[in-house]
Amino acid sequence: MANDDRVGSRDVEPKGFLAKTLMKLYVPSVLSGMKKTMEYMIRPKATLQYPEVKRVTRKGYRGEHRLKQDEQGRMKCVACFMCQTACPAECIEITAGPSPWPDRDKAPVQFRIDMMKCIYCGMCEEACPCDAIELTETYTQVSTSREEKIYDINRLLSN
Amino acid sequence: MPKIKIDGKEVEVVPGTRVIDACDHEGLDIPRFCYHPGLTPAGNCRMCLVKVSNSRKLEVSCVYPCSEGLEVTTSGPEVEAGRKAVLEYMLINHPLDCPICDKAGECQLQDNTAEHRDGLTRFVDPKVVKDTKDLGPQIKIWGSRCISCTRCVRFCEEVVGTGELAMTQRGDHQVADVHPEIPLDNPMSLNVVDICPVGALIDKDFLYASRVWFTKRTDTVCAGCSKGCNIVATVHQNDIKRVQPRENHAVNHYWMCDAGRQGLDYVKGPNRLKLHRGDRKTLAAKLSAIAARGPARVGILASTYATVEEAYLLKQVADQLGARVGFIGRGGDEWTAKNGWKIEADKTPNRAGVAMVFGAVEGPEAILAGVQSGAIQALLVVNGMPGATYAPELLAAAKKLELLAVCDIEKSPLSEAAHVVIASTTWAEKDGVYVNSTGRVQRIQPLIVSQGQARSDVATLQEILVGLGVRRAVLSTEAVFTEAVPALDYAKVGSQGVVLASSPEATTTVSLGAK
Amino acid sequence: MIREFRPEVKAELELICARYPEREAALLPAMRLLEREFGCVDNGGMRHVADLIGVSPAKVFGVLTFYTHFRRDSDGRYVFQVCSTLPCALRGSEKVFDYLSDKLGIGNGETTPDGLFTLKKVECLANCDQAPCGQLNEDFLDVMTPESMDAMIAEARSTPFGEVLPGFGPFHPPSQVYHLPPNPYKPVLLAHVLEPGSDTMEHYLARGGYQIAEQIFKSGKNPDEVIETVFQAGLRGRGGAGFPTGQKWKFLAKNDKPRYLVVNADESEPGTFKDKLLIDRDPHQLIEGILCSAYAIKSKTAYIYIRGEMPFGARQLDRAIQDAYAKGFLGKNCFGTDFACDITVHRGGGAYICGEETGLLSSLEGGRGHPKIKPPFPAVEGAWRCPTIVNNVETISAVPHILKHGPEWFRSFGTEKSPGTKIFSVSGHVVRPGNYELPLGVTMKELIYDICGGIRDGKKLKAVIPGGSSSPILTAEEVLREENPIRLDFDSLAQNGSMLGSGGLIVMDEDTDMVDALWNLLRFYHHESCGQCTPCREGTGWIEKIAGRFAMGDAEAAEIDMLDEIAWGMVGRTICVLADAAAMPTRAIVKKFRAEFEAHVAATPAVDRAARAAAGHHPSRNAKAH
Repeated sequence: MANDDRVGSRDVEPKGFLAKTLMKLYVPSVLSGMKKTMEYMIRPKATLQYPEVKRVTRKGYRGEHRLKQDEQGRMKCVACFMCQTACPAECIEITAGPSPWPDRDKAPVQFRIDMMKCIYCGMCEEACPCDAIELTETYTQVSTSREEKIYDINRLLSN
Repeated sequence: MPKIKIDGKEVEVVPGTRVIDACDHEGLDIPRFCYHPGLTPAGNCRMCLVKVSNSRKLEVSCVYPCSEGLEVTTSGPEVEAGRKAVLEYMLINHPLDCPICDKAGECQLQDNTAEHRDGLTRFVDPKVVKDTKDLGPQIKIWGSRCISCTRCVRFCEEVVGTGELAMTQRGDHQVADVHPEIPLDNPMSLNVVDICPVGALIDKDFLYASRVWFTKRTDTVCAGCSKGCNIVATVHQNDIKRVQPRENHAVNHYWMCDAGRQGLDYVKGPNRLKLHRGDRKTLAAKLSAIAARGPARVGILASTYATVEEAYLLKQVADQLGARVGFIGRGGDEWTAKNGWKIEADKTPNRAGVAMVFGAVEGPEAILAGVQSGAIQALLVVNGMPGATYAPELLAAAKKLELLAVCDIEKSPLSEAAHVVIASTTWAEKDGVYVNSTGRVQRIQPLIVSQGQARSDVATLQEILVGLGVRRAVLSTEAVFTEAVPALDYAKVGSQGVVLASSPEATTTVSLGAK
Repeated sequence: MIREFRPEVKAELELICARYPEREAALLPAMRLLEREFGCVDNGGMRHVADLIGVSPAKVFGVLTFYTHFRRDSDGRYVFQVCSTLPCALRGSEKVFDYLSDKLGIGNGETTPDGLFTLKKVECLANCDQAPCGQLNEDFLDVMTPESMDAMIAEARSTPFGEVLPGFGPFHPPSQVYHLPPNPYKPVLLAHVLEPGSDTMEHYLARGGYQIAEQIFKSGKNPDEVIETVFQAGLRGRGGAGFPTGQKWKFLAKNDKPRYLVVNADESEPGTFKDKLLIDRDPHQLIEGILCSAYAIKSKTAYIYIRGEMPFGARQLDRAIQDAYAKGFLGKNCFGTDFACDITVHRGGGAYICGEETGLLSSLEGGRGHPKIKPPFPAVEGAWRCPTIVNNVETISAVPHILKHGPEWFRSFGTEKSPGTKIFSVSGHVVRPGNYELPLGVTMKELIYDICGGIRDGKKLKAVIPGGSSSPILTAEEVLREENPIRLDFDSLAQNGSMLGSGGLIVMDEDTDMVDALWNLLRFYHHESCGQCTPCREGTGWIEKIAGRFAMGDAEAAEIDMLDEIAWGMVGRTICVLADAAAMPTRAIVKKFRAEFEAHVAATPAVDRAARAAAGHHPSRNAKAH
């Protein structure tokens, strides 16, 4: 076992009775471990004490979807299906229909996103030509059933 | 035969050929809008401009005739510059409607622009705006999208003969329109939606229905009449969104009629029979027992919607049980367009196919008489015709039957009264073969998954035949077809069909097999 | 509303149908009957004539909406039509329109609430020496002024309607007075136009009229010899293209199909007003020309296609033709021989493109004036797919003179390649606008300064459009050049980058804003594009909008070259040359007056922008907004 190149392995022969005894009693290893533990105790923590302390998301964070509205409170979406086409997870399902407003032809009658299939990539937001959908910074999406995780048009408009 | 050169390659053409057709034949992709091989060329879109040796200017290949020694160049800087320019002009007033326009994904303007231009425009002025309005009960026009190709006008005038459409106004306000008091309404009107190169003319039934790139296209044949127009169905999420004609110059050329497009609500309608009832498994034995009592104790009522495979199996059942078979059908109005394109009066797709299996197609009268007199004690109804109305006398007499087994696509008083009900697949949900009124053998294919428990009649009939001891196993529909017509299989029938020997246009000698 | 003609009118329509080989050709005349009988062409009327003629109502609707001149049910009893094209604009037509608009309280295309007056801007009426001119219903209004308009309106208001049917009101302005300015050169075609009664058969016969036609018909000579005579004379088309007439006649296909002679009296090229004078004041000269030409090309059937805005001219021709029939000069046995010749006057509906020969033929056949794709050319396949010759009024009117005096006489005028005389219509800022018949080859300088009296009000010349608005512009330097001066013949002008065209000179003085002038011309071409093919339909509108933004000071410097490129992009890619007619002058004006475009970019135009915008002159979006 000469020339052992393994990193961190040190075949150091302890010399002397005390050294050998301490070694046999794993004292150096224990002390080394405790040193490591103490280092972690003092070090600044990454854990946030949620919900008292909430994470401030970075700019551009991709969270829950939202269908946006114009100044008159009408949804901007014109049911062009670009988002449904672009979505890599195929989680968007839109049903189109005539729009109720005279200056537009088309609007979504239904707009469903399966939030469990969604991978939060944001391709839908990029693909949209009307600035009608965005991924908000909301990351708290709690539900107690699968049905609740399929957001429909009403939910998306009120997000 | 004159010889011309296309991009340096020598080609021999029939005299009078247009340059664009010669180029198409060579597999060259000449971009176009207004040219349609089923209509007289107009030469107004200017997209098909090519360089020809006889002229200083670029010429439109859709009109320019081939002559001996002509040299045609379909690519290169001059031709490309012409295409880019024509597209630029066409796009300046065209609204940027792609996100909301149904034609997206199958739009010639999108395709040509993606092929020949980058995505930029120099136009910054206000666009010309024209009306969006109904042209008739089926069709709406987005006038701003119209590129004045005149295909729709030429179609209504040359093919149909009704001429409801004309180009109106002048210059960049020109748009296809109807007389203010006379809507676009003829038996073939929806073809203009197919041939419109952009999303100006829209079928109101397909409006906003689905984006075409999500859909699946399946070739089949229309079952609306015995003409058997070749069609292609656009299906999305197991729903038939629309049907369009397929090119077949032996049957329907480029067109189909509106009735064929619009008579499909029944497939997913509320009246579909979806659940079986009664004991299917003992059906064969019960029929056999009743048949054994004497001749024609069992009657079979079918329709001329039955496919060749179904007819073949029905005959096997009838022969085994000694049963008479009667066929219901549906007649209606025949209609002929100005150019001779005809809608047949027989509104069922396979009378010819049934006739070839059975020799003659008997009506339902004998079956009705038999049930009324009591001679027929068991009636097997196998029907694929939508909207079949059974005579009230039959319904009254059917209560006397010892065994009434109904294998149908829709609920009816007959199915309510039946002892055994088997939900059946429609034309849209099965494989099969029809023979049209000119003796052409054509395939249908399943477009959607069947509804509820509905199963194919080919399977049901084979099960009965297995139960009767005539067949040993249930085979695929194609296997039944090849048994019925040994010279053919589905691949040989192909997407354009083949002609049978007994029709006037027969070019191959194929006849239906025996057993 | 259901419309149906009285039996007499239906019979009248049948007689009209009989004058054409195909019934559809009677559609435009049938629509004029609707105007006469019901006061307008409306939905019910369109359905009725569709039924009588045998076409679809949609087709009739398409024809109605293509042309500008048919009366609609929204038109008032008196329709003021103010010419807005360049020659009239140069002499203040905008002010006239604005005055009428203010006085009547209506805008372009609108009708007063009492249904009495409608006000419309129209394109060149071929009356440019009387600029600013217009029409009131079917009558010309010469040199319109606020005072003269006040008088018209007052008289129209005070004239009682009585039993007059719906449609045009009963008041008519006074008949036109015809002018011919002094001319050092002796006219041939215009020799008699100002003589009283020059439009009558008696007057024409007294000056030796119909003698050469009679001589030729009775001689029974080989028609090809007549063609050869015209060919030898070197007569070139006087309508614009300048194609050798004899050569065109020789191109006729040699088959058994009937041949048609069609006279192009659709004079609509801005700045051109010579044919109107010939038709109004010497119609028999044209009739005799038709007889001789029809004999030469072996045609039994001739049509005179006259623009819809010239109903008086149409009536003059009709009367002359009736008189010729009465004398036996026309009909089954012309001059008592076995040769037949019929002439029918066919009124247009108001479209410049119907002056293009195949656009004319489409209109003659009863449709929208859409030019046909060439080849085949009309001499091979024209009207109703038969060999057809289309020639201008002036060209045909010259034929009897050539046949009477011989080719050498004709060649004694003009140059070798451009023999004969030509009527030049001069309009714009000259002292004496009008029609001048000159031997070809006279210098432009001589015409403008010596003959027309130079520029009015002592101003300096700035630019001249030599041959109708479709010919590229020439600057004053080019016109006034001493060495190798520009001459008024086909070749000299072609060599100098322009064309003789129809010979309509539009003269502009130093105060003319060339950007405005270009915008005016492009409004004309945009309005007159038939709409069939993509580059012209969209391109004419586009360059008009850009020119408009330059005129309003709302364009960028880079758009000067862009304007040139977009204009150039239309050329050579269209069915007919209206696109070229819009593009080439655009390129010439942009090139030769670039500095003015640059000045407009700096947004200091010398016009009252706010007032122009308020009057509806092309409000444009900010060039940066998209």
